[in-house]
Amino acid sequence: MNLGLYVAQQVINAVSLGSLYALVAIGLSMVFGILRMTNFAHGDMMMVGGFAALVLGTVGLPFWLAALGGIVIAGIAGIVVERVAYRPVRGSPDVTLLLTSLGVTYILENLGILIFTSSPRNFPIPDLMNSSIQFMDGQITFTAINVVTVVLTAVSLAALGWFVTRTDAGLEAFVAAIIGGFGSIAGALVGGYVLGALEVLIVAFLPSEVSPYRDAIVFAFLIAFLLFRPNGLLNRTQEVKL
Amino acid sequence: VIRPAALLSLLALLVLVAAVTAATPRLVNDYAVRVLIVMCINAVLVASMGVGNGFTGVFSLGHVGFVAVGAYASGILSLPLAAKHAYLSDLPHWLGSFSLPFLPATIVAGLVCTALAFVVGAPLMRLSGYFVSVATLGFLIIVNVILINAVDYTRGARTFASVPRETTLPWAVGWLAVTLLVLSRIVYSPYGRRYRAIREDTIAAQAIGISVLPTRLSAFMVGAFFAGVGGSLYGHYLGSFSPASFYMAYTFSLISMLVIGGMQSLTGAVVGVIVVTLASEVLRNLERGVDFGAFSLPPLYGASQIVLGIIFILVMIFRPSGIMGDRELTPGVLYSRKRRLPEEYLQ
Repeated sequence: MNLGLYVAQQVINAVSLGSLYALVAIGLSMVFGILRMTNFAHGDMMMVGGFAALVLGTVGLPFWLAALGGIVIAGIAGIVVERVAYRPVRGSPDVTLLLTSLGVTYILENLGILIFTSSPRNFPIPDLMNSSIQFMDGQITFTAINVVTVVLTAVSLAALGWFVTRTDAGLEAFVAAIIGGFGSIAGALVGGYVLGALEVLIVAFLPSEVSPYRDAIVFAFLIAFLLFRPNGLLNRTQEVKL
Repeated sequence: VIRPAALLSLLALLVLVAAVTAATPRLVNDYAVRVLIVMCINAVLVASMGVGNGFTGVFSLGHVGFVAVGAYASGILSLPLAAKHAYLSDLPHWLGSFSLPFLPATIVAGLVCTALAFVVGAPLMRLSGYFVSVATLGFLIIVNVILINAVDYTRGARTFASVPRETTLPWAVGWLAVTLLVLSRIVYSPYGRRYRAIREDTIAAQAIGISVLPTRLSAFMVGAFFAGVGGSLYGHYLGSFSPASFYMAYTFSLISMLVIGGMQSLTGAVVGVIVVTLASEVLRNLERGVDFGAFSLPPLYGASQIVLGIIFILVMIFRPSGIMGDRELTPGVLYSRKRRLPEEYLQ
């Protein structure tokens, strides 16, 4: 296979994986910006959304409605968690916030296991999204859902940008978070794509014996970043108040 | 104010429990003994976690990484030669050719963890707040990935079996007593006062000449030693384990004990272990379903964890410093009026 095409294929993989990470990271970064909290339960919110959509699909709703319903239910779960667990500890020391979100993670995870058991479920998606798209006689291949991911990330970002800069509610919400601000959302975006690229790089270009160590390498990078660039790729200095 | 011998009454109680169980094997059934052994091991782990996380205020999520290293290191050292040849035929010759007894294997495991803590902590202990928590979580994940992939040493994700089951109640109680004695000697020494000074106000502590990195690093290394010891005890209690035994679930379990008991107190560590263990044993029996005649609860497996999670969050909201706060159960509490630091020392 032609090296150029191989690289192009890997770039497509990286963009698609990176979009997914960026979408998740933006939410994480917004919570951190406003609440100053590392929300460990963020991934569990994804679980809530995923399983809610799965259940709605199983009871017969068409895929698009089920997906939308999953998003709404995850949003409601977010509101409930904030009211019940996060609001009472607002302004507490870092460790308290972190531990509270860890407790929420633990509850949601075990609730998920209780209701849905821990065995993986098949998530049915429409054939249209599963269809593969090929270029150059099949040398570059991706599935339609990858396109959907990238487009949805772009649309969500545009909507978020519009909400923050063009509406009163958005302005109000983000005045409080000016320290985190939009800068950190851009940072989350960059971080998402860098991580996607890194993982694809490890799998595609390093010897296959290295692949099982992917998580270890990713977290080693994370630690290196915390040590050498604690303010992220888009460097912003932090003031220490006495 | 808090004397080095602060935990003597607690130790006496432990020895009493051990003596009673040793003297009356018929009266105490296997189930109670097993619960007691696990409680002692968890108390070793939670107390050692408290030194770094509670006393210096550097909240590490990586403690179980050291527990895993301790369990595997001691397991490899003490595995009988026949089992080594059968299971771990690819071990380097020098490791495969001998088998250590339980005690030296445990001490070596502790020392291995101390050395690892030095290497890992030297960079990581420069971080604070969220950064150190996330970075140490990264350490836990890296340890897990390495244990799964170092198949020659660990059998990978498969069960590491045939470890001699040598952790009896006297061993567990003995190690808990040693742990509490050593840790209380350290944290309530003049040097240990630096831990709390750094926690309360890092900048003020630096201003009076305390260097942050070596102080935090020493707490991290002491904690890691007893994490390794506890890992060895746990490994020799279970007899067989896998990398998944020492990961997120166990981390949360230990953290909930630490936080509910009170992480700024060694007594709190023990209290947390007792409370959480008793609560989960009771809840675990309840989740099999209860029949009160008039109404009955259907079995809800896993509900006990959810209740524990809710208790955990309630503690975070209403009593974030845990049951004990920063108080210790001292002999003095029993017969004299409460002695506390004057307010101006606490500012």
